[in-house]
Amino acid sequence: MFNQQARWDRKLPQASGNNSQLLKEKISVLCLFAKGKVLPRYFFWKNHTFRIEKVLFYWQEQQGREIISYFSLKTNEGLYQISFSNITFSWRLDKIIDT
Amino acid sequence: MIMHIDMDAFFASIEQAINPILRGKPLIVGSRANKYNTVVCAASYEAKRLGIDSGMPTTRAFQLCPNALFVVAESSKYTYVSEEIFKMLKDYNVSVEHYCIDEFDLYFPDSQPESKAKILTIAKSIKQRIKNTFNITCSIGIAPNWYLAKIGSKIGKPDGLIYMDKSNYLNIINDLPVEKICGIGPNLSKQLNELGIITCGQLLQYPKNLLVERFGKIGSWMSQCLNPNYYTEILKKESTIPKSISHSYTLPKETQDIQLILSWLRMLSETISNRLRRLNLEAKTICVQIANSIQQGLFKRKTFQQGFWLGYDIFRCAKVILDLKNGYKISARIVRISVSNLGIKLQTPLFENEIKKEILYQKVGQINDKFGEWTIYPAIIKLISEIPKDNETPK
Repeated sequence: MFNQQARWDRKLPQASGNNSQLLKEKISVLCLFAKGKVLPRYFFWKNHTFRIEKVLFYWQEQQGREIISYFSLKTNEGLYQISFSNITFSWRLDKIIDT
Repeated sequence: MIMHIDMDAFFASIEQAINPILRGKPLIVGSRANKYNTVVCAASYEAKRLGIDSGMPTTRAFQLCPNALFVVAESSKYTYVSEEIFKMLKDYNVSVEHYCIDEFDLYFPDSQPESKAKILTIAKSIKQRIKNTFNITCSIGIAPNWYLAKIGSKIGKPDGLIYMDKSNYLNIINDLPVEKICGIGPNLSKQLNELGIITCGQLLQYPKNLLVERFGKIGSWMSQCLNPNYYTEILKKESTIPKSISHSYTLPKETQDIQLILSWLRMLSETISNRLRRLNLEAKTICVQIANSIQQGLFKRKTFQQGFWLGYDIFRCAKVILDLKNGYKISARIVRISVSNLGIKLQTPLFENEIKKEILYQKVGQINDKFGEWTIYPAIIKLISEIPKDNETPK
């Protein structure tokens, strides 16, 4: 097993570079749970509906007992990263990658 | 036969899969902090073609390609993908080893010549599954010994597949420079060049006794490592006890602040302690390295009679090793602690204070396991999060 990153490391400014806009806002997601997979279809943010055209990448991160599932998405309006926590059962919009 | 799988520009490829805008462009994956003042963790093939490679200071990388894109490395996603690939490889019912985060080995015992087709089918299937699942590529080398397999994976990059057996390996490696062999770095290759050994073919023909006379054990290894009969099963982990555990960190910028350096050392000690606790191990040898832009560093090691696993003890030993006296000035950009001489923790503490300390560490460990690493941490580490933002631009 490889160690997770140190927690305060994440707090350091994402600094410079190809900065995606960090949001970490709670959102509502319409998704399909099928064959052991989570397949987000739409998400709703700021009174707006985003249709998910493709899940570009998926990964998980364990923080203690909490498993956070991350999705990099292509929507009809741009590229976004959302995440789902198995403990709080909540979805977050983490980043706007590109619009 | 051994199949060595090496992911192509692993971190950069994952970032390009996550964000398609980065595809086909020179991309640098670097650590946090200012992008002009850190190191390249990984570079995309487009960046590599311009001379940018892992370990290079980003200042130099941006001189080579001012328009290169930069993203901050996030280890959790690379770890996840690596572990998923490892699980996928286990489906093939052969012995699998995790060589490092982006390299894997599959062992095919008692391979017969007629199994070549079978092994190649597996290799193609692995490449296809990785591509389909993660949209990234890997290069595979298949050979009778690990070093040859590793060379095969290197020369086939990117997205390569090289099969070597006794009939064709000489043709493939004969003209390759000796530094392509894993374990032969710039210094060793320079010494070999002085002996007139430039290529792998020349190394194979060089008398073993002369290599042993000049290089000792390493000479003996060099004379055999390209031999297809060389038994490399030993590279498999013989036991679950690692040889060493090490953690290092490149600071956002060079600092002479002793308290800050100590807080990083404490953080690294705690990280090592977490791993030792989970493995139920203790370490007797502790090594501290502090490097900066001028000197390659202070590198000190000490072996103690007693074993340690508590972060506080490792940190205390590191301080003893560094021998920091009042007014002592030190400048650090990279801090590293490694522990070795590892063994199963057998002895339980006898004295009340030691017992209390150990119970405290166990409890803190349990809390961190439940709520996430660093939910509880030593106060000195707090200093680390107070590093000022750095807005320097390249000179």
